[in-house]
Amino acid sequence: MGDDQLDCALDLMRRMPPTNIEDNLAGLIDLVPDLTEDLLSAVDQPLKVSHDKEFGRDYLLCDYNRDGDSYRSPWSNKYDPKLPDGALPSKKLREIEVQANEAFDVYRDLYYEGGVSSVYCWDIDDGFAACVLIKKVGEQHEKRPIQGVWDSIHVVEVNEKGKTANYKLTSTVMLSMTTENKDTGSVNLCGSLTRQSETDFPVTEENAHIVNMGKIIEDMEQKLRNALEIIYFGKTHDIVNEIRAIKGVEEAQRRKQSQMNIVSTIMEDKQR
Amino acid sequence: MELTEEEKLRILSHFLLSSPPGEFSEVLTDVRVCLQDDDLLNQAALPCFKQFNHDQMIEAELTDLGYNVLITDYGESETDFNYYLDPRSGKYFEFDHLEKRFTGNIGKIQKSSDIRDAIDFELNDYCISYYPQGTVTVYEKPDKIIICISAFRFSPDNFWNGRWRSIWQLEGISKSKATLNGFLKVECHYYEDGNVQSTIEKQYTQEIDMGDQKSTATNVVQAIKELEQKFQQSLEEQYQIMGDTTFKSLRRKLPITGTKVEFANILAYRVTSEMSGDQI
Repeated sequence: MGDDQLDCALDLMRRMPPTNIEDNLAGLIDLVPDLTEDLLSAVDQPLKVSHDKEFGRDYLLCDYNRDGDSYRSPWSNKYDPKLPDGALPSKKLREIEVQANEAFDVYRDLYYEGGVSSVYCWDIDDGFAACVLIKKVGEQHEKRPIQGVWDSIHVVEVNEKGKTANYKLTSTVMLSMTTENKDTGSVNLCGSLTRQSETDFPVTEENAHIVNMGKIIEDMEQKLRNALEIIYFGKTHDIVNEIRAIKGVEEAQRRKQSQMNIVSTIMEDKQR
Repeated sequence: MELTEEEKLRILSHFLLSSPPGEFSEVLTDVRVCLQDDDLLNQAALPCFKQFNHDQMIEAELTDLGYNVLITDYGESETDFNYYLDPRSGKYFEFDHLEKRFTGNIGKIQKSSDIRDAIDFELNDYCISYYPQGTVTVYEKPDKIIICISAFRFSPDNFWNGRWRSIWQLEGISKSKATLNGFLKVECHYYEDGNVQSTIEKQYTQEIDMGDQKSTATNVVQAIKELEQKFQQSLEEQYQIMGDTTFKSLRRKLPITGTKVEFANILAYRVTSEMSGDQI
């Protein structure tokens, strides 16, 4: 019953308005407290930004750097509010975490030209897991008052098998765009897409894990960006055009008929 | 801390009423399995069925008459529970909100005026031409005509659903110029490997010249057609602008160098530039 319950809870979150994830998730947890931990780790929420005073740098908050009510900074490796016995990665893993934060900071600059990034690692059996987060809030112009927010959440499970390692990636990009316009009124485009991939890579070179994670995350973000572009600015608009035929139904049907005529002509031509 | 029954009902109603177009029963199934308390759920769900049908302005077929009528706040009988007006036949029909169909019971009769009929006739023609699955219902109130248009496309096999609603209120119809107040709302949900929703809302106010029934009807329908047409065209432009500007500035397709990131060199690169004092 528990599995069914979780499946339905996740299906519900896939149907509720993405503008309201935090409230909907809180309400769902109130209704089904038994699923609290499962839901918090399975449902992605918009990333929040905090500031590491010691290093003077921003970092991102998620379920993976949370312990109780405190969050760990990837820069100082300390919890805020202070947590003396908060969970930390092993010494070896912290080294990877530090390097990964450096590497993805460069990556973020190159692709996002701004924003905030954070990488968190934790030990698991036969390897480690990492969560790579990037948040970018678009600048608004007076002439173009469109608000845009991008949140990337990549979770990689790395299973070491001697000279190779298996990388299991689950990536979500949450994208929200809103604007107020005299011709279209308020336009709100909001949501997320999730994709998974799994690959084996050799781990013989120095920094192999960071290079491998970087490669799969870069490829995945590319795919997600393409999908977002098609769905946000193509698909949702196609749906509107399906509901209302801008050229009129007869015109739409006439064009469909003409397309069918062309197809059948081509088919006949090929058969000849 | 266990919630009170009242708090649970509030959350359940919120979920049910937040259902995207065409997905009420899926959301109901989800909350039923999550909650595991059918008595409580039924208590929450019953009023939500009706509220959701009203909010969405769903259409229902009058099988004997051979056309659809919308279920709306404006058509609900003030005296008879769950009876809705079909302004064309001037009859109230009992509606089953759970089954989403008329029961066959007929209630009171309300006479329709010529101006309403004229607008309805013109508008229905417009609706058939532009909405493949649309329904229009035109109500008459004191010194006022209320036009409701609701159109949908549901394609759950392809993971998308959407609905268009517009409400046009023509006020002051006894004067030489009436005011047309419009509210338009479009909702789309795309949910293959994700959850993307678009909501667009727009309000209008415009003056309409009142003449004889025929010319008034033509003026009203022409105004609605032009505004809705303009809306849809502007929306296309707006989507283009959002995609070409804001989206592109959030994340580049490729770094400015035009090549993918060399992670193997990235750490060395970082160290070098930090030593030379360059800003990355």
